[in-house]
Amino acid sequence: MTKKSIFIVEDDADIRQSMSDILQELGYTVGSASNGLDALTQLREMKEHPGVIILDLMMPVLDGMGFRKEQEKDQKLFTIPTVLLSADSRLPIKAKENGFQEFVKKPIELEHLIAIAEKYCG
Amino acid sequence: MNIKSSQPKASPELHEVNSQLAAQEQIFKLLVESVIDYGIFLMDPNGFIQSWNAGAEKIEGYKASEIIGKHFSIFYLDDDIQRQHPQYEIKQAALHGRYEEEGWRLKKDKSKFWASIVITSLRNTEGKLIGFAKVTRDLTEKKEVEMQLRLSEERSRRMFEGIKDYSFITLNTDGTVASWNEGARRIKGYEKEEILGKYFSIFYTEDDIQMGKCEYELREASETGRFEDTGWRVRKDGTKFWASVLITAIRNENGNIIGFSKVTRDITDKKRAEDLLRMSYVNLEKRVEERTKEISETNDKLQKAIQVRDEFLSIASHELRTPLTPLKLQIQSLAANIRKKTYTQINEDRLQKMADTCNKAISRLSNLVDNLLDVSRINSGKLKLYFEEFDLIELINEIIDRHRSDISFSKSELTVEGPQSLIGVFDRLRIEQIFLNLLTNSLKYGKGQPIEIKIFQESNTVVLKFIDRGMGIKQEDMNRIFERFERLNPETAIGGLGLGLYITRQIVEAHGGSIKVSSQIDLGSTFEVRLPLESKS
Repeated sequence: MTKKSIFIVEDDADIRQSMSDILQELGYTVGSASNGLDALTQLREMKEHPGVIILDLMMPVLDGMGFRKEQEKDQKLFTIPTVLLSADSRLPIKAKENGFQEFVKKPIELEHLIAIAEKYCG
Repeated sequence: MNIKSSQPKASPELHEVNSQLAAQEQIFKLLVESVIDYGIFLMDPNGFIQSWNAGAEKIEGYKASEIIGKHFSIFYLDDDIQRQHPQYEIKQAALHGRYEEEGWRLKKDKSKFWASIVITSLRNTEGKLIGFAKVTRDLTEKKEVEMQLRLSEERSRRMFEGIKDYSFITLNTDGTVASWNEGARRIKGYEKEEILGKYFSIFYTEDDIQMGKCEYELREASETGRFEDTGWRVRKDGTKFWASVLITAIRNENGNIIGFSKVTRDITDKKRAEDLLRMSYVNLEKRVEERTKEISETNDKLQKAIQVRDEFLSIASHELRTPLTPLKLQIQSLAANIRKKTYTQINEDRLQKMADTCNKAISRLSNLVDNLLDVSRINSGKLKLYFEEFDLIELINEIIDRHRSDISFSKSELTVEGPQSLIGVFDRLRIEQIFLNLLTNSLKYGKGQPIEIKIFQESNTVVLKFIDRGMGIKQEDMNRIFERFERLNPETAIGGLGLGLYITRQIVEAHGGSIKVSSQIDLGSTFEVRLPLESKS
């Protein structure tokens, strides 16, 4: 059984890189973007959608909330499970308000990251 | 008593007449003798007393038996006797038929009484002086009342005249001044002689006179008995005073107005004090209002400061967590591999990358902590500079060398233009810090466009210019970028605490220098630092 891919939207290159490296080592295909707009462009071009999007909240150009609004308007993208990732102290409220299935507070635990990958991508 | 000379011949008719006369004379004598309110007695032409009635006894104290035959000067005071006043009186009475006067007389007990006397000369049918009749009334009581009245009037007059703080004047019914006291002179400045008879409008302002105030006041006083007012009045020298005035109508016993009394007090000082009080009250109110506004403004500032602090804490927490994320992931990944004994399978490149990532994260964290400590030092005034003499160009080259990789990562082409060497006195570490801050900013916001750094000397000042062609800064943001916790364009969300420029400015200013920025949106920004070559601590 082939694992579904994971898509990371995160402006901080070190975080993006660290998560990609670890998930790839675990055998996942990982795509990434450094802002919401770049993510939307890449996701719309994809033939096969990822199993989960891990989305940072604070990003330049188009932030997590902006991405989420666009995602909700897009029937295809809307079905992709999205996990909100942020260091924002009001994360639980923001996640709930914007209809995120799940949220993870930075700094993310390795186990939590693996759990998300396994839950959505097998 | 027979006061007429007797007829030589008597007829029966005459006898009848005579006996009738004698009867009348007897009745008259009894009447006189019984009168007790008037002393009535007869004197011979020389003033010796010949008769005495009950009234005389009551008034003078002598019995008839004691006094008849005595000279009437017995009733006179020594002074009067000395100047032969009794003789003068009867001489006048003899001359003019009667003499009248009031004066002090003596009773038997030598006490004085005020007498009203009338001496009438008595002549027979031939006109020969045969004596005098003297009528005496005791007017002591009336005299005393009169004297008391005069004394009291005199006292009042003196009192009113003597009062200095109040102007007490009287007006005639036509409003002309009838009397004037010392207080009036002091307050209004007129001498008695020049003001008596003048119409009292002389004390009023032109406006009041035009309005007919004087006439109105007298009319009010006439109708209601009194008129009271405070207002401006005019002195002789034309200056004004704030007066308290009371005009009262004076009536005689028939109720007719015979004049007015006018009491005036100069209460200019009181008014001034009141005005001052009112003014200071108004001022106080104004100050309270201002203070309230100030407090409200301070409160707003405080609220804003709290908001800024909260935002800062939120940003700081976010910024600290960001490098913690890769650090944690890498360490935990390594730990997991160690646990599963799979770490030997990790190739060398991957291990190197993990170590680099951790290192970088730790550098970022320590940098953030340093910045926070700097802000804390600046806030508590404990930012200390350690001055030393060194070559600024050498230091700059060193910093650029050390950050080659960051520069090339930014894709911006960096050119540095400056002299061979530039020796000055600065805090080496702090200069490195501000240079790095400004360089990092240029790289961060420079959008990969070329960056120029220009270093030159202007007399005793070193000028450092960082010129980028990046996103630029909005006009309204130019002033606040050097404030604490300010990070422009949250929507661009370029990481950082927003402390870099604040710390930079504080360090530059601690060196006695200055920093400014010029910028155009989408065309780039130029930061210019000017530092004195020999900074003093």
